[in-house]
Amino acid sequence: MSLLAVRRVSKRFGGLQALSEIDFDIGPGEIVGLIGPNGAGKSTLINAVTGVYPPDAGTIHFDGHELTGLAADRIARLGVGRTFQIPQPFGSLSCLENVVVGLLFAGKVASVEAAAAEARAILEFVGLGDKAALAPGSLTIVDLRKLELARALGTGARLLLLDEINTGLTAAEITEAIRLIERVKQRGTAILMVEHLVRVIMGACERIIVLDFGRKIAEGTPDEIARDPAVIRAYLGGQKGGGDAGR
Amino acid sequence: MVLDAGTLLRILLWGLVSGSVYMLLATGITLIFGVMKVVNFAHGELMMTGAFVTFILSHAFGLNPYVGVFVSMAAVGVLGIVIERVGFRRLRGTAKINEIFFSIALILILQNALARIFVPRFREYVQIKTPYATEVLDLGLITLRYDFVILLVLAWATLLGLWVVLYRTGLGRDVRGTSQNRTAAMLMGIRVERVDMLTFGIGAALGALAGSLYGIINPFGPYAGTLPAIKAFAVIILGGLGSVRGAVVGGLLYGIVESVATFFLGGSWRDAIAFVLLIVVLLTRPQGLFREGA
Amino acid sequence: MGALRRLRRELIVAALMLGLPLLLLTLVRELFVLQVLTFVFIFAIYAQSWNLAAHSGQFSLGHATFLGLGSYASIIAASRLGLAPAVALFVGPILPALAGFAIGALCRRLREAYFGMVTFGCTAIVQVLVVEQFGWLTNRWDGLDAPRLAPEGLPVERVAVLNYVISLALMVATYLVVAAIIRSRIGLAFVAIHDNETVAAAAGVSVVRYRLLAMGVAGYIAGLAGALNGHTLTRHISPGVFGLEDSIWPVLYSIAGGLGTPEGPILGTLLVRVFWEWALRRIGGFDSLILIGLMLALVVTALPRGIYPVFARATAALGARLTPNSVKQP
Repeated sequence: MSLLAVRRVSKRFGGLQALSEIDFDIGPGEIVGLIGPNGAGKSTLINAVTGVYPPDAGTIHFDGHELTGLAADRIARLGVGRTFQIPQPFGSLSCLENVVVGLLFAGKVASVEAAAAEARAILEFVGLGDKAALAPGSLTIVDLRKLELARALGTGARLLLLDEINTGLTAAEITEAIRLIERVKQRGTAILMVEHLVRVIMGACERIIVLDFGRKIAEGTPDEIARDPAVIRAYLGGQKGGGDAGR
Repeated sequence: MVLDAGTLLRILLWGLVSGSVYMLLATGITLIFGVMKVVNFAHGELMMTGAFVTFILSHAFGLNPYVGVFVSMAAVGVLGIVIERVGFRRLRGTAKINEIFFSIALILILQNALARIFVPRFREYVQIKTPYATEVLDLGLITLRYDFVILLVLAWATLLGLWVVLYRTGLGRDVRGTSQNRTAAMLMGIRVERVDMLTFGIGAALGALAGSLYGIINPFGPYAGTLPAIKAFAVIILGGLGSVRGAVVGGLLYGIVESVATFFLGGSWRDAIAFVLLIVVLLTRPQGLFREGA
Repeated sequence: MGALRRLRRELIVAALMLGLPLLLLTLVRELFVLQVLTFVFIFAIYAQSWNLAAHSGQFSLGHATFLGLGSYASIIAASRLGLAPAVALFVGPILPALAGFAIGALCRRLREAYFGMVTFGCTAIVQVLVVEQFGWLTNRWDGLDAPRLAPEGLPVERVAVLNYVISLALMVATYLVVAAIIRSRIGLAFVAIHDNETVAAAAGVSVVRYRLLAMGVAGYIAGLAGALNGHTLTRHISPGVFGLEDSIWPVLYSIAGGLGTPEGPILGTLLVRVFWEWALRRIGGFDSLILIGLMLALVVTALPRGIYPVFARATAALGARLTPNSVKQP
């Protein structure tokens, strides 16, 4: 029984068909990669699944509930969490409070004290334990990405959508990030991660979905994808992006 | 209600005339927004400053108002440049709410600066008297005031001039470029600070012209600018923020709609009409009717 | 525990807010001073209301809608429906509360400039409705006289003292209520929405519901201020209340006191109003307003990142974190 079932989802913005007939499943506890050249529709897909905007056509089901057309906050409460490509923490709140928001409103934690305690634990888990009291304004990009993850974890999500969470990290930081993602998976959370970095995809993902121009052009294990001629064409056919961008 | 041809023409004519004023106001605001992405709520006060300058030149120095408007436009244009340099430029990059607060400060300063000069001497309202105030053109169905004709000519000539500047000069090209894509403009070597400054000046000058023309056909006072400006904002939201075409068409259309609505619904609804329209549009098409951009 | 510490501090502040003016009352009996302070108390409530809405990211430029509707509803309830003014005072604000929900719903997807414009526009529309459609009830441009809150037969000084004490009590009560809201998870939701609506939704916050709640509560509180003002100081209400000035003042008061804290609006109203009374007599109304405008312009442009970070810094400075559980000190 799949956790997330996306059926024939399409989305258009004015003259641009951002998504066409996207169709895939994600099972509980799976780590699935979502890759594709720039502009392929990856972020659009994440936005559609998480309710930032509704798809024009198709359906999305999560754990038996229909997500299509629901408001973003309802979807979050149902157990779908996400990070944002450009980290967007709540600037007026401390890191701890950032995570508390998710716990209280999506995670359905009963009391504020309990939420604070759990938020501490989550911050420790991602490695921000000592920065709980700080405001996000003083954080480095690495820490901001960790905070994004912490906040998404705070929602108690059973499916996490990570949008390019490793962009801008050094090689060492990426290694640490992969380990962190593994630990998240061990908690039983399914992950769909948008990625450009081959290292991460090959290393962490069990399965990969490839988008190009809004269409799914391939799906399979990392090895299958690496050999798929359609994928190779999409990346090398005059498009920039993709490839190992680890600094 | 019996609507004969003469009345209809009168309503439409007034709509055209007041619409031309709104159009100038809206164009000024939309230019500023297009280039700087700034909402200046104090535009109505710039409008009244312009009206007031023209009035003083006419009242105290006997200068023909239709010449005075140009002095007024220059003066308020400079004022606009100062406001941009001293105020809005500093706020670039901060939370957008600061622009609103700064606009409120400008409203307080300008309104009351005008009032302290104005009210003791002139009480509540004045109107700019022109040498042609009593002259009319008898066209059978309606009588056409000379002033209306001159107003329309001035307004549209200015618009034409603006078009020339925007599409036939280097500055205009820079303005349009900055409006479409500020980053790209900077990368191409356009000095965006200079563009900001001059655009604000032009926008303010257009406001001053709108004010002066308004002041010729309407009684006005230091506080009379708020409502027309807010209506102009409604117009540019309808027409698309940053779209000059939207401001022109929208302003004219709005003038006519307001004139018609006032006739049928009564004077007190005149001002509220703009907001009803605005709310209807914002609910149905939040992005306006035209696309963004010049 | 952070929450308890906050509550204790708020109670201390409330006690001071209540105690100091009462102490002043025993020392000063000048009618003028009492009236100015009563005005401060009432309009601090009004500023508190604006500040609460601003806390949720909704910077209303049409707050006079609520002030005016509160006055009208309360006065009409007292004079037409025969309610005692003390009761009408709390019943009247229900109307602006409903208006707050309606306006909040109307503007639920709007931010900043758009939100400001529409809220301002609503004030204009409400004014027309009050004068025209409901003119039979509101006496059109002449307005309505308000029954006195104080009982009949009291001498002027006693009435002034009574108004002073009642307004003070309501101001302190409002402060405690608003502080409690800001301290609660509702306040946390407000700040999240203020900072980033999309992210707030992704964290499970029902943005529309909390925005509406903020506007509804703000509407009630502003209406309360309006009703209080009508029954005590002005004894009259007319459609002029739906103008720009009464929508600008709460913004000024809130900024002067520092956005974001529950103490701010009270401090700000006191500062601005006292300055105003002083300046009015020295340099006249117009110049005073110009000065206030200049000061606002200075404050907004001189702070390195404008007013907004004062929002965050002020709260940190006062140790008043915006959430229930402040674990600022590790």
